Amino acid sequence: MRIERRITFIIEDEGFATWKIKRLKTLSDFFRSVVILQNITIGETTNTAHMLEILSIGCKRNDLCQLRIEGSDAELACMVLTDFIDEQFTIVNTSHKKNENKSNSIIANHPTFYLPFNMNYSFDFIQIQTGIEKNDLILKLSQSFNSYSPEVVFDALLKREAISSTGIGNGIAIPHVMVEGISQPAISVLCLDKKIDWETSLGQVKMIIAMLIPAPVSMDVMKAMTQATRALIDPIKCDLLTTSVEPEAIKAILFHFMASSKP
Amino acid sequence: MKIVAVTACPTGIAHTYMAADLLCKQAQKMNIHIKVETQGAMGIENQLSVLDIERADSVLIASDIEIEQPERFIGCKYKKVSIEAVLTDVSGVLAFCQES
Repeated sequence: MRIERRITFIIEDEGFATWKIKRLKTLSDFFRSVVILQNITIGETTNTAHMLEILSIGCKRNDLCQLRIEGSDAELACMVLTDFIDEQFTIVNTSHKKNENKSNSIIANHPTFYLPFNMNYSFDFIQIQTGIEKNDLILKLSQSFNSYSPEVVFDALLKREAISSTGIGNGIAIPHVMVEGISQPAISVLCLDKKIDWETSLGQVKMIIAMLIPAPVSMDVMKAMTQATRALIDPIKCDLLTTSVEPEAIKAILFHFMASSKP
Repeated sequence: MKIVAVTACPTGIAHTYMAADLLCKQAQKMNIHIKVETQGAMGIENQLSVLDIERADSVLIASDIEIEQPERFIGCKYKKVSIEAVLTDVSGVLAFCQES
């Protein structure tokens, strides 16, 4: 049986000191599971069995990282590693012990997720039943934004899709519109249990990241949104999102993309 | 080889910049000199001058909409592709530009 557990965390002042790398390796070696360290900020991945590789990635303060633990004893390994990571770094989310409030408060307050404006965020798991199509999901998205007028947003989203599909490949679609009279930007994420057609040659879609942007757009909002979408060019970064089943981790990754100074 | 390109999309916050990033990255890999003008929500950035267009070996327009200031391209041979084409196969698009 193959299970997967993930721990999402932030590197603090001390960085990834050599003794911490050693300790991580020692702990990982107790288990049969493969432990992968992924630095989301710089987009590098390495196996924790290779200490030099971890060193060479060069994790810095405020980098967002993720441990991916895969194997038959992943649950146990995750438990042990969660304790270690919690002592040395700031945990955003772990599969072992869920704490939604803590995750959300870290995302709201930690500089690595800082955005210079307020944003609405919503997340939903969707079970795809037969007959559900792209337009049904767009309707759902336009309601989830909680804006003054879902009809206006719905029409705008449809109009945008009519020009060209917003599927961007790697299982992700990014419907996005700019609408007048919106008070603050919003992101709505739908995570689907089955892939559906998004009318694009770039393949079917597993996750929909919809953006509602107030018009006229401010420089800060524009910068954040383009940084997020530019990050999604990278198949590895898309994979981080589409394979995750933890809403807090997905939120953290998206906010980090928007907040990071490099695209 | 010198290519100039314009990217544009309806909303101007996502695809314009994604396509521009992809073109620049791939062009570097293929040893192509490229200058990409983005027509996004913040207006035109990295604008192509008439001289740029005149000097280029190939002109590419990657857009799903009518671009701004199209008069600059009157009389020159340009290639037009959709944004989706760039996202699907950026090296193919650049190879297409290299064909005379």
